[in-house]
Amino acid sequence: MPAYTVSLVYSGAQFSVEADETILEAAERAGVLLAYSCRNGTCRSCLTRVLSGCAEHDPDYADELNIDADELADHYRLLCSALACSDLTLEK
Amino acid sequence: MVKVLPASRDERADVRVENASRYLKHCYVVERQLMRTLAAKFVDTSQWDFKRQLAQDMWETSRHADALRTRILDLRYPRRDVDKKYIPEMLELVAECAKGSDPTEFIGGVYGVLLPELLRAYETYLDLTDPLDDAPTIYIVRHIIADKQTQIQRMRALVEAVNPGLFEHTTAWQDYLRQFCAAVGGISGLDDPAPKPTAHPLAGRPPYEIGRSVRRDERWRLALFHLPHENKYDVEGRKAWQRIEALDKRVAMQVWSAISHFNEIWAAEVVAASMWDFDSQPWDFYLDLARWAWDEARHSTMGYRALQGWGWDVPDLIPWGNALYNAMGPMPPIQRLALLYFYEDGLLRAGTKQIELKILESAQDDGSAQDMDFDWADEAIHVSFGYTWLRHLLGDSNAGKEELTRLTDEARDIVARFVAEHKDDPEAKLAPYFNRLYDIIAAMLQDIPDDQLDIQWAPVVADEEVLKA
Repeated sequence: MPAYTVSLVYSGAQFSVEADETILEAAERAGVLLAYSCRNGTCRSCLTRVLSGCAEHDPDYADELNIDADELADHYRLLCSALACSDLTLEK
Repeated sequence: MVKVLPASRDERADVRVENASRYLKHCYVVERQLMRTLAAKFVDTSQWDFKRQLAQDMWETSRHADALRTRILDLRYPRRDVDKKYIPEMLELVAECAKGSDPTEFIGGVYGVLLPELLRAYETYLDLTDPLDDAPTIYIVRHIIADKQTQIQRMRALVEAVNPGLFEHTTAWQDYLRQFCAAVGGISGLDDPAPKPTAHPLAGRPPYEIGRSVRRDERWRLALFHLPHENKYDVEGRKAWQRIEALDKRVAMQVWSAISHFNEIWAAEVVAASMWDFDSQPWDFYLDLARWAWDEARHSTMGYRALQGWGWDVPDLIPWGNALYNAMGPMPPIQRLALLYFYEDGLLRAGTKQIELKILESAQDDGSAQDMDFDWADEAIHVSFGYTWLRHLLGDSNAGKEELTRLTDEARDIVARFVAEHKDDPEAKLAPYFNRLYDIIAAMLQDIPDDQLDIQWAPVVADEEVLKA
């Protein structure tokens, strides 16, 4: 399974994310502090815009997330529930 | 030959799904309306011990109503009838209970009459129904009975400690409510209705209306604000707080989080008032808001417990503000909810709770860290509630989003104006509190060795600045 690199544009931090882990889990593993709360995609604390690359919400739970179609179209993702599908740059 | 076998068992078996669900609906309507009434009376009650108990009982009542509603729907009862057609006599009965002229009369009526009447109805139901055919209801009702008995005992113990004689002083009101209950045929609806007690001296009061401003327990001095970030004009208050910070940032965080938690009561009040103000929302709206309000009251109790735990005379030393609720007084209910959502959502997005938890852990204050950790988990649920129900109320559309932004911006302006208008009130000054706290904290720290750790983060950050982060 490929590992992708996540880059945070404001803090300059970088960390790798495995294909089967969420972006938030990968950040925690790397010791990068990101705002989060519920870990279930409902509180929206971790809502973040993907500036480049591909991240998709876990399809098994996509219907339960508190994110609307406009936000998805604007490349926002809930990092606690999103999986990387390429290298990424996040608006963080 | 036309014959039938004898009944397969001797005992009376005249309970049917239809009369079981009708009976339970009486109880559900009373519980639902009692929950909303307890929420409103929680807002209107200033006495701290009664106030927090009403919040807990309100939440437990929401769980009772939810369990009954679920079971009624099991029993072939049409969803529309459960959620939209309430039994007028039961609504009337709870509405009479709400007319208690002050919190003590209200408590006397609810815990002296209504809850015992509910208990009687549940116990009668257990006597009437079949333990096999209706076993799921029996499981629910037994738990509700246990909770109600606890609620009555707990409130009686509290009354004994806080206001002995409350029940004796409200016997006339209890007598009136007993007669009113008999006039609607009891909560079961099975009794023959007695005449309405229209000639009773306490009959005929106007309908209850929730207060648009709150008072605090008389043991506390009148205070508008509780921490310096609320009032940017209070320069002396900010300086006094910074002296506490200078002792140690972790100490400041310990005290800040306890005072802040204690004052979260305003958030509970905003949510509880919404449960009263909105009277025809989907059931889950009330269930979620009951949990939200109870959580915030728990957080307030967490703060109180921490402050007491340091051996402090809380009413004397700690400001208990009313400005956050009272500034919202003129706003429509949805705008209050929007503003609360804005605050809570902003704090989580800024990671404020996470940072505060880390500082409390660095202080090795396990109690405060534990409180903060559970508070943080609760707040995540609240933000989800706010997101869900504001979209429901305003519409899941761009217009709805724009209206939420407009309501929030306007609400923030109203609060800012309130603060500016009251900035010179004596009750707005926090320096006297923090100067006294400084002396007490400094004396406590004298016996604690310096661990040479220096925490850089300072908790004195204006909310608006946190929210922009």
